[in-house]
Amino acid sequence: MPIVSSLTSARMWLRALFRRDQLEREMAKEMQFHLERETELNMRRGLSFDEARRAARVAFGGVEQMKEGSRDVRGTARVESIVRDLRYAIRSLESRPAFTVTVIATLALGIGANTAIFTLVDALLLRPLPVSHPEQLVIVSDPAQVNTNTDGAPLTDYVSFPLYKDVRARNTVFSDMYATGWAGTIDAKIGAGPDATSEQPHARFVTGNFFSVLGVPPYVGRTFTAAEDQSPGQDPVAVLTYDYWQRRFSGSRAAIGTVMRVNDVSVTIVGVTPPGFDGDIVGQPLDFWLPMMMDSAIQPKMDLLDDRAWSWVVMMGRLKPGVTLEQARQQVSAVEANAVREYLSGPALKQFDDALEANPIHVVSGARGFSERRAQYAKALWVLMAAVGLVILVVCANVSSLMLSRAVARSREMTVRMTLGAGRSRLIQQMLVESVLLAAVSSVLGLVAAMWGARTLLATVGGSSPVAIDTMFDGRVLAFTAALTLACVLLFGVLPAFRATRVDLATSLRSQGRNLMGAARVGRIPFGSALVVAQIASSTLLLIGGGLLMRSMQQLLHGDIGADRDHVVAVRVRTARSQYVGARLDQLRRDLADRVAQVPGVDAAAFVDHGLFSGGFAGGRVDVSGFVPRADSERVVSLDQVGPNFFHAIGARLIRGRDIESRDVETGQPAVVINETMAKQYFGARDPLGGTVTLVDTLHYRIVGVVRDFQSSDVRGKPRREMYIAFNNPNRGSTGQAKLVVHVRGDPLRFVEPIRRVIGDVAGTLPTFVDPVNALVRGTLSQDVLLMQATTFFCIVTLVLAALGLYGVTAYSTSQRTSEFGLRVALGAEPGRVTRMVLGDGVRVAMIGVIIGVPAGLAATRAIRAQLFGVGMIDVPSLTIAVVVLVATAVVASYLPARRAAKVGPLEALRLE
Amino acid sequence: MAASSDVLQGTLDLLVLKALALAPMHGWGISHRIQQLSRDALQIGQGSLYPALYRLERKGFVKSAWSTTENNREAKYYQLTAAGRRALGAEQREWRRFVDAVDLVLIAEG
Repeated sequence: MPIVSSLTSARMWLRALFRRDQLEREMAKEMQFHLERETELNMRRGLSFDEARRAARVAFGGVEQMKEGSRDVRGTARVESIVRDLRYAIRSLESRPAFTVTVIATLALGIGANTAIFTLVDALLLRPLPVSHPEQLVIVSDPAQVNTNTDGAPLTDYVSFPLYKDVRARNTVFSDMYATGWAGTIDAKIGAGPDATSEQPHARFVTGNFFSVLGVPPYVGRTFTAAEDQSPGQDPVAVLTYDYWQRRFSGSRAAIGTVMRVNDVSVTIVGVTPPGFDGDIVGQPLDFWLPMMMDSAIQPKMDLLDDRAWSWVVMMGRLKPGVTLEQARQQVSAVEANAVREYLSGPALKQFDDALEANPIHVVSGARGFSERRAQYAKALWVLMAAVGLVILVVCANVSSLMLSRAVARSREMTVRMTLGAGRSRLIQQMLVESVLLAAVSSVLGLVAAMWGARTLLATVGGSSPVAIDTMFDGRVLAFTAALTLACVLLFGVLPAFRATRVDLATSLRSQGRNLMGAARVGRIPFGSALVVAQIASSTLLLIGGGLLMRSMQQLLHGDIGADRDHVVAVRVRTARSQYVGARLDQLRRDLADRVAQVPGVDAAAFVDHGLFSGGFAGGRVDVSGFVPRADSERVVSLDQVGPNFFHAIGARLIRGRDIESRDVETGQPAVVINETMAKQYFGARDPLGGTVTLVDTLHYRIVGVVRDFQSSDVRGKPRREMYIAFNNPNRGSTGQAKLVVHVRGDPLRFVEPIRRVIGDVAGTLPTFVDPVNALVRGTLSQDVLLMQATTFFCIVTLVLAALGLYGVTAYSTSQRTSEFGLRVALGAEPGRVTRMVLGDGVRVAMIGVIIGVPAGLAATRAIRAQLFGVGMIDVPSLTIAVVVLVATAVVASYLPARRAAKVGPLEALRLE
Repeated sequence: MAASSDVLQGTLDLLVLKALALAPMHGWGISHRIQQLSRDALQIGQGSLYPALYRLERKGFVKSAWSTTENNREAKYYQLTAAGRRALGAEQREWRRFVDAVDLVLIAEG
């Protein structure tokens, strides 16, 4: 019964709300009927019609009061009054377009900026993987890095594939574990015959249980089966991401079962994953997955599957029901540590145990997937979010002061209405409805702006390797924006509403209420100026951080990496499945280098096995004359095979000895150039020249030079031990491709076409890739670029907001002082002086903001230290630019009001009084 | 015209429900029936009758429908619902208890 009755009343309430007119008509009709009956009755008692009617009316009482009472009973009075207030608010906002546009623009910018940054934060830091029960996923990493040649490298997620197999077999806390490795571009040829196209999608090798452990069902076709991925090279199949399937195959079901050539291995497409799932690596683009066991077939250069010295896979487990993360941590740590120990002895074992103590094995929640740089980006993004949050606070304060000054202007009206009996709550409601309307319109515009902004940001990062971040607004982002909007209303709407309706009826009617605004002060500083100070301070903070990020971006993109990155072009020709094998491939490399070297403007061209930022790498264990290794890991080095003039061609500097020359690759004693780090490690103070490096126990190389360290794959990476052996044995190079590095004079982009033409002359129709090295470098930095662009974007937004705020406050205080200025001019002050005075006030306020903002900004930059590259914590140029930009903004924002102030004539000013 | 007595709000609901217990009726009829039954002692101010009717309708105690009167006029008739009938019983018991209690007090004072 209570349910029925509440349903009835809800139905009636809705009917009352939406069929208001009909109800009003019915009510009028009912009253009419009542009056008529009463009149008839009175006439029967002997009264005349007029008298009867009058008596009936008197008996009935006030018709309108009765109606109002009935409306109250319907319970819709409040809603109806809100609707009335809404109409009133729209009319009143329409009548003041300047105010409305300013408020909506600032709020929309503020809300949009916050939504945009939240979209990024959510995508990179907060959102769980779109898989079943992500909370059960656990990442297990290798913190010790003992078995690699980069001691203390920051990337501790990686483990070797044999170690993964040990941990998977021995643990009892996971229902299963999978491993994935090597995400990068790969050469793919799609289609057949003349329509075939070559491209470089992003691929990743995953163990066969990848999809079943994550619980990702196929969207079309199937994912990998349990029988697949058992033995090397046996299952040439691929599963596509939904996006790649849509983009490349137009979402056609016919794509399933077709064959594409991946590094010239035929691979059959067997399925597609559901939309929204693009792997377990956050913020990394991905196009398809290949079975782990295909690695040796598709990248036949190193035996990555059996080597314990190469940490290259990440592993994830799914907790068994009832097992806690802590239990898993204890067991898996022990299992993994023991698995590593079995292959260590003596000093290496001690080194491992020491490292383990300092840096325990990470067993952490994998709900949000892997992110190589999340820890690094997290701080920067949170700082950015805090700064932008500060901005919306200041925006709200600004809008609040605007609303307040408007409310004060209306205080006479308020007083009159309250004197006439309007309830205070009614007036507050009316003002709040206006605030909600403003905030709602702004948040819709803000959402649109944020969507556009996020798209634009990602597009500018763009290039061949866009950062894979889903920027479609989901429920989380919408909820965030809604909450933010509500908070804004509370911040800027409530205070003015209460303030404006708190009027003392007696005194307000007498005074104009004009000085209420001036009375709001923070200490000795007027409220409005305090707002501007806060705004300028937060802008300073952002500009300082933004300046540092931009400078480090510049360093990352153009700074010294030990090679002349701005003038090197990388060339890659795919020769697999062509006539070029063995000696013919060797000859092709030489021919290509010779012919390209003759292109006008080319300084030098060298053939090379991997070169700069080509995505390839190799390594091995060495013995060095006069050096006794304490652990096996100390023997591991990276190596590349290079042709004559290699160091000249990449613009690297030889510290000792000479470049690789033609004679080294013809006959003669095998020669090697080692890098500085390797020289220090193995020779210390001894002279490395003439020393011997022995590779795989039988190949002896004589050291002919030492080269300054240069980065060949990661701009941020610490230098590794690297050596460059003369490329004299074509069978030792990676099969299936010929690579060159080419040093050019001038813009490398201009050389792409000429080089491509020459290669076409020599190699015919072989797939050819020609890229400036810096373009390849940029591809490895897409997340840095994104962060930098985002910061720049938010700097501009806050600057605009600060300028608007400064302008608003200056304009307001100037208008308040109109009579003062008039008086000054009347007493003989020159208009120029008035301008300078107003301008000076604005700049002074800005300076206070800068003085507060600089230390705050310097403190905040500590949090983004991990992002910085090649700049100090205090960067004088970017700091100077930040201050100059802000002060210039202050001058511009104060100039218009200042000019207006100077134009005030004495008479005009006095008339205003 | 007899002097009208103010009717307590809770009591008004009770009177309206009681008046409707006999037959469905329009607003004017309700006010007259109450007046008749109370021998002109109670005269319901129309300003409170209609709000009371809407309130009762919202609570689900009465329902209304337009219908024609004996002399062919459109009028809105109110009718007691099952819930209304139960509420009437409860309110009557409540009223008795109240009156008895007040009586006890008055007797003691007398």
